[in-house]
Amino acid sequence: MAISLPINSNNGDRVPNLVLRDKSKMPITNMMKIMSQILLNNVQVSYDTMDMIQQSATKYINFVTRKAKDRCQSECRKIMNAEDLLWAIEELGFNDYVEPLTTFIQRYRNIEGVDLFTTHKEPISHIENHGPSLGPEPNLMSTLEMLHPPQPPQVNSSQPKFSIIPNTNLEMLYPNEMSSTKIHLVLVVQMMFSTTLMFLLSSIMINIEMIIEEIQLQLTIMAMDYDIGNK
Amino acid sequence: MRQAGAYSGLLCGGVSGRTGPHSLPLARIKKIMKNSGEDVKMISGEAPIIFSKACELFIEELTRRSWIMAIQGKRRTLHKEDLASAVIATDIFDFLITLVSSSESHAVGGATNVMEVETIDCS
Repeated sequence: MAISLPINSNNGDRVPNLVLRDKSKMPITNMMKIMSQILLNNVQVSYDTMDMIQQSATKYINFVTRKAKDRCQSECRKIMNAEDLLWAIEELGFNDYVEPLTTFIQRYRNIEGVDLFTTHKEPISHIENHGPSLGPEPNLMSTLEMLHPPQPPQVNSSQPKFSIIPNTNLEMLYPNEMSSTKIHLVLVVQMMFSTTLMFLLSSIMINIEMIIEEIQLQLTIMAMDYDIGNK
Repeated sequence: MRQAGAYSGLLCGGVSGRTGPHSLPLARIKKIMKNSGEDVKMISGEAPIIFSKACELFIEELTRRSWIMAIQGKRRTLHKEDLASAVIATDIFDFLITLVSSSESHAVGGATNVMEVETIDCS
């Protein structure tokens, strides 16, 4: 015994729900594109089925999110991260999804690191040769380091003493073995470079301070001229 | 050197434009996640990204199983009955039985009773 569905009542009941829940569901255009990858060209999808799949996707997100939230609460954490979702997806029986999602998130983290230097979004073939992928925190640290470079320390020494360095070179070079000579040479070069860099930076700072004082003098003179002009 | 696996095309099938490399909008996923419970407060930036791919896989699987049901019925159009049959036939889709049964509440009374019994068994 087959009874046809009352289409009018369904349509009448569904319209206000669609209006109210339009922004709380997946957009239908994106879902059609995803489904068209599976179905053949001659297969059509009715509107009711599309709406039901839309609600199914929303229910799926709620279902997995609640499971992941249980794990966050059991471990006394407040931020839900990707590992919680992967755990929840595996616990709920979607075992086939875990492997592609793990690959996806690893490649995304690699590309997220690469995006600091390049703008293309396609995966690079040699990424697969990398070892364990970097976590989100190193990327964040590198980003912060790029945005806010560390300020050099203020050098208050009036006259840097360069005469000590040659003696240090002599003392470090002669009594040591040949195997450690290169290491000491590298250290000496680094020390000289750092000292020279600090000296240059302090000179630049002094110049900037002089320029600021000159600008302040000019502003004072302009203000005095302005007062004289008014009177 | 490791060869590209079966999932090497995961990042290439995205829809360009507003959603970037992802096929589903991340802001809407985040909104749905926050609406799922009042205790869900802080979500990391990677969680919506994981969900955009997970939902894509979920929709693909649901569509494939519904299409199998439609083919068994000698039809070329997916109907709600195909989706309901696919949900009932698959264990991992048990959380959708309430959605399917509520949508089928205007259908045959016997089928509704059977669905209710199954719901009780699952819970």
